[in-house]
Amino acid sequence: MIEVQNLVKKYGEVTAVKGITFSAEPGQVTGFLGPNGAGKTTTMRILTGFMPPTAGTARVAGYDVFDKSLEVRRRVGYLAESVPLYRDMTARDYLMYIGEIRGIKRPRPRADEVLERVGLASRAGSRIRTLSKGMRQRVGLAQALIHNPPVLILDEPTIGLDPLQVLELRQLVSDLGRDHTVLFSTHILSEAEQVCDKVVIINRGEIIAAGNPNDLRASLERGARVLVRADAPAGALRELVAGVKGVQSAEIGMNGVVATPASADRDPRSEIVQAVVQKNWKLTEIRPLAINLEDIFLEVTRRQAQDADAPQSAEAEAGS
Amino acid sequence: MAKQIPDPIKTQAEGQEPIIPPGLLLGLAAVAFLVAIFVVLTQPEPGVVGLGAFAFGVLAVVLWAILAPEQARGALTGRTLRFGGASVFVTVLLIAALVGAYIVARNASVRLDLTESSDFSLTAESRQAIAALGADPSLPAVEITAFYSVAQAGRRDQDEPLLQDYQETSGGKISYEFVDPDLQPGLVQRYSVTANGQLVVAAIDAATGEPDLENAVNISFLNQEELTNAVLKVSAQGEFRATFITVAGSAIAEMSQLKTSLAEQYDWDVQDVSLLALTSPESEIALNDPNVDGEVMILPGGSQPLSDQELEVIRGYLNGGGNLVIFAGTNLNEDKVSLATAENLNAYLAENFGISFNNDVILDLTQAAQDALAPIATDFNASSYITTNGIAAGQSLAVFELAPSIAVAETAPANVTVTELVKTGSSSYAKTDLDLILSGSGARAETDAAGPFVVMASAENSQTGARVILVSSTAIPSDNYVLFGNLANQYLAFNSLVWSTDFLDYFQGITILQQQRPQDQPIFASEGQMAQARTIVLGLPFVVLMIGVYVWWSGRERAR
Amino acid sequence: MTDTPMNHHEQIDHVVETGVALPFWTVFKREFSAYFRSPVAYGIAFAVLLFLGVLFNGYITYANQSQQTPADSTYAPGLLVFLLFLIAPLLTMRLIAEESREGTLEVLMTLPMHEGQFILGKFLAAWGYFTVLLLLTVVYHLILLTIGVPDLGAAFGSYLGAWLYGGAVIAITMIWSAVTEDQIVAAFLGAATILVLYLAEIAASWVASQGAVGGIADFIRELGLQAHFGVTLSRGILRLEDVLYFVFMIVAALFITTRIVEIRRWRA
Repeated sequence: MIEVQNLVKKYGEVTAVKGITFSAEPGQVTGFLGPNGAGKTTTMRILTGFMPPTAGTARVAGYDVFDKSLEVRRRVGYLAESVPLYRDMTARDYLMYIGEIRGIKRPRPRADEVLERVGLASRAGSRIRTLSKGMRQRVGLAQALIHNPPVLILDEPTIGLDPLQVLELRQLVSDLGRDHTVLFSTHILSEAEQVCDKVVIINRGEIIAAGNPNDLRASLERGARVLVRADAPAGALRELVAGVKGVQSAEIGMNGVVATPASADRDPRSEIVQAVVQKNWKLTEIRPLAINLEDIFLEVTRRQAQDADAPQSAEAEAGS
Repeated sequence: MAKQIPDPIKTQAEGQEPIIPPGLLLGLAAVAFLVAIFVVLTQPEPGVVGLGAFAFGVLAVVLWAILAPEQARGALTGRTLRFGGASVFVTVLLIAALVGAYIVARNASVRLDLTESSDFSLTAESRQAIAALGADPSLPAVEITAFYSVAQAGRRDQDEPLLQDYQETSGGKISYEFVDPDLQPGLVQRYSVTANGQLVVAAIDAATGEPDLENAVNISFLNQEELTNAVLKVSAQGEFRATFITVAGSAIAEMSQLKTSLAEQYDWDVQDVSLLALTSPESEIALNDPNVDGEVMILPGGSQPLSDQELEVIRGYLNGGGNLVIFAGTNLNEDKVSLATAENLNAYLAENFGISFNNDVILDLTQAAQDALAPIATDFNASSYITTNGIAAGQSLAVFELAPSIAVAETAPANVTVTELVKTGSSSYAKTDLDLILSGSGARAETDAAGPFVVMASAENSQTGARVILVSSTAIPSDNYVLFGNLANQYLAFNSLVWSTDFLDYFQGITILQQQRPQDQPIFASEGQMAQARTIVLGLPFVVLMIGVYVWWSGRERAR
Repeated sequence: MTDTPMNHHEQIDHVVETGVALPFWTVFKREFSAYFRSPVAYGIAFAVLLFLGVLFNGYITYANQSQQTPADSTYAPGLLVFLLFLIAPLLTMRLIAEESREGTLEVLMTLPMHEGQFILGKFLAAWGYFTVLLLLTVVYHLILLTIGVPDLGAAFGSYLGAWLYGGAVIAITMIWSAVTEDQIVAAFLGAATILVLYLAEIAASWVASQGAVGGIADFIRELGLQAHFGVTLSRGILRLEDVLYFVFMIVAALFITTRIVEIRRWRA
């Protein structure tokens, strides 16, 4: 549904997006991850037809975002980061306005339908300026849904919401992901992990990782340090773990013993479990230390920095 | 994990870099087109600069298309069309196209007069007269030259529809042109224009194609009535003829002033001819010429009586509806008779027109110019054109030097109307004993007839149309006494000719008077109407304000 | 987000019927009605009508006393046209600047609508408001009808002219609203532009008095607004080029505005 090929966007001398390539499939929520200023919003604006790419192509629902901008826009629902709304209009009037511009035949029942969907039916007649931040976010989402688009592009929809609202919104996005193509940007990585079927990690205009969050985790968990806790004296446990095959070293940490694998592609957990069970100690916890996307992100960025120190480092720095 | 793209910042256009940046070419083209537009707008003709700039612009665009085919294709298919430099170029092209369309429309001069009163079109009266002018092939073409400076461009725009209507209604016979006096000082001088905003109406000489500026009419402010009359006046080809008869002892020299003004100011044909020459078959002048709009024969004095043959010429002429003005020369000569006071002429005049000269001389000791032989007359007929045009009643005077008195018959002949025009004062007296005067003793005697005497009279035969005016002195057309203030002499002479030929009526006949429009009616409101108007006019904004406050208030309520 | 939980039904995701969209008409309806919900618009109408009313009252009072002034139906439209250098920037300053600053432009520009439609809708709304204001001034003509004999044709010409004039001026001031996000700056630049175009006739005479060559003075004059209204349309002379001047001004200004919005958003 979304295919991006070598997409480049330059603002004068500054290159915001440096030739990224990725795709998003229908029936999936694709997470677009990255710190602020990574190029997420720029990419999304290109995908919605708001601005043209400097080079490269992007196709949404089979249409080129530049050549068939209107066709693309017809099939995309977009929630912009700042959730811009007309504050002097009521929620229903606003949705009817957008619906009418989109050419919806009966905008009023449709607006009520969408408001119902986002749980705002009771405030349909309220002016938007009187609504809370969370409600406005929902009006914005309703706006993106009004024409039931096959593709939804949501730019940081959970920003500034309270925890309960965040949970509800994530649930809604997950639901929508079942029969829509959803591209969902966030800089909160646990959120992507929770909601997304696929993540694309972007930093400084470049994609640094992409894939299923579980696959990503698995590939990174290999070689990750392992935390081991058991009903045993810390010193004895450390000695035991250090002696397990595939473990390079082990230290006593805050919550237990931390084991460092011998090589990056080894997962020594099963061996450690076996060793502990053999001692008849009660194993209370064993997990890789890098298991969430924050860690993945940090890890990948760290590795990238290490690569940059390698011979071509000067070139890589110049590009950013 | 995605692999990053090594060199992503390569756009299609930068693939092959030409020697000249294509963007620069587009910029040059834009500048060239702007120059071309500017030249077209500001110069009467595109000229070398305009055409050159246009050609250069086209060349630059073509070159750009060759050097950057990708961009050119993009521009046509819409991809780069919307980008920066190209966008500016497209905008310039659009504006150039709009300006072009505007210029075409302006040159097409499509105008519509919306006003009910047709302020900017010909009125019914003007339209009829102008259409008649256009339809008459014997009349010359007329050009209207309006000397409007840039500061008067507004008036130019306003007056153009009317001038256009003149042109169209006359079938193109009337043409108009606007001239900027600041740009063409030569024309200003040639057309004798004294101030900006004047219009000069001139007939175009069919032979030379040049405007007849001598008889042009200058209008200081366009006004339809005035303009129509000016057009009619310059195009009117009235042919008027004054024939001065040369006889022995005639006072032709005294007539020179009159002849000059007739010929130069009023375009009359003026000739000196002897009566007998008129009758010869070779004569170029035919009397009672039907092709002439007006003719008059003038007898400027003379010392010898007319021969019978000569009198026969006059008789025939008057019977055919001719006009005759006789200025009596002096009879104070050896045989004590002049052409005017001779028996044969006066018998004819008295019998046919009821007026004749007496063979006497009027003297006045108290009301005279230099001596008693130049009596001053102040009694002018108040209703005749001859004694009123240019002559202020009660203030003007006329000097009748060496004048015989005029006898007016008590009953005029049939069909003849006699009008006494000028009389001398009551202190005047007439001597019939001319020897006494010649010997220098002009004192008043008992036997002398007492004034006032008629010294100027007209007679008109309504059947033949003949008109005769007797004037007792050849001093009347001369400028002998111009040192006197309010001297009516020359007016009397000139008016006599005008009246006798109906010259004035000829012009009055072609003058169009405009009717008052209902729109010129001034505003008038009663007290009540004024109060009502004031209430509406001043109340309206507050009604709007109150609606605004209401809307704002109810909007606030809803927001809660 | 505390009152109602979000619905998770699927009934929303049916196919939404769409027809032929006329986005400019939708934008027009919203913006036009926004004028009548905004106290600012009533404030402008109040100030304009009060100003016109006081002057008109003075005019008829004077005319009634002098007893020789015919009814001049161009009085009110002529004045209104002069005031446009203040009215138009106030009407248009927020039209695009606000959308741009609030970010609502970003949403609109991701809808299936060409920028031109959006600009056209906004323009028609402002012009519509001006049309209402102009129609209110017809009351002056009606008053003249009761106390004098105004020329109906000339009145028609001057109202038509004032209407076209207003359209052109509004379109031109809209350019500035697109150029800057600051409404005050937009209004100030708009007023300055219109004043310059209004006074072009005077500038032309000055240029001519300085001995300028050829048609430069005429060119400047015809570029200005008054040359196409003050002496022709407002007096009842309908000239094709005058009508085209105003129409072309509108077309060109809207085109430029569209381009600016496009360029600005693409370089955002």
